[in-house]
Amino acid sequence: MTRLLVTLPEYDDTTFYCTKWCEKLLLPLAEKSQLDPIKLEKEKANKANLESLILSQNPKLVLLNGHGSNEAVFGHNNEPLIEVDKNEHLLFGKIVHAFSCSSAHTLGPKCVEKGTVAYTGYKNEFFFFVNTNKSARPLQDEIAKPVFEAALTLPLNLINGKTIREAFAKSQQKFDYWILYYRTHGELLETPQNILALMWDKNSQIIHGNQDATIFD
Amino acid sequence: MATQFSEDEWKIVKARIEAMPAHLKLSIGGIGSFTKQDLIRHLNEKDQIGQLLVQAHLNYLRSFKKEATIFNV
Repeated sequence: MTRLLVTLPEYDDTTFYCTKWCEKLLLPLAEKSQLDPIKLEKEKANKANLESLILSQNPKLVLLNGHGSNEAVFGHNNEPLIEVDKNEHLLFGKIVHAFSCSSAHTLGPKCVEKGTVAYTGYKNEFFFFVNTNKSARPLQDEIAKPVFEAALTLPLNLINGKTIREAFAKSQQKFDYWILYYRTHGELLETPQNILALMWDKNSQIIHGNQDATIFD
Repeated sequence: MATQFSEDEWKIVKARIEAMPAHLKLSIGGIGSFTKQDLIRHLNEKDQIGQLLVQAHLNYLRSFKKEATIFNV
């Protein structure tokens, strides 16, 4: 059975937003698709758990949500989960999506060198604007919604069995949809900021490895 | 701090941030969350975050020039 492992840290504003939007947009589909997602939530999103579960459960798709740097993706309380020249070999044979800053700059290519089938993510910092009046209820934040909807279209389509190339294209199209939306709704207060974030994140999104791979291969 | 951006570029971005609604906050994953006042401070200091802001804004503004070229305007 194809399995999915997802990290869901939730210890600051950024990870809180990312986790809540992932839970809303990705997990219902993963459960419906019978991928039986393995969820590492909050403080369980640590290196020991991640390594142990990757080895014992052999998930095909690994979704790493959290902060990142060029050379690492982080879990709860900024503990590095996967780092260059330390444990990227654990992702051998897997498809990885890192919803984090920058890790696709260096960690992504290194993972592919060490046998990761494909690594998708962002080569720069990930930007999003929030409405401070809704920060305790991220799913009701209409200002943050477009960026998350566009960004999470990529892993959503991986879960749906699309190829890396197709999932990336769908996500890029969703970014374009929202960019065009704001270009034609200049009256909205958040238009200049959201176009900036959407364009930056769209240009930062990148894929490495086998673009024809799917999680059901 | 020496930067890759001109004074005019810093000024343009600062003006755009000053026009930003006060109820918005920018989250830059891996770095932190910033209010409008935080962003203005970083632009005044021309630090790493300020430079990242300017880079993102110029990326956006230059897209208009690119589109004008495509449409031969």
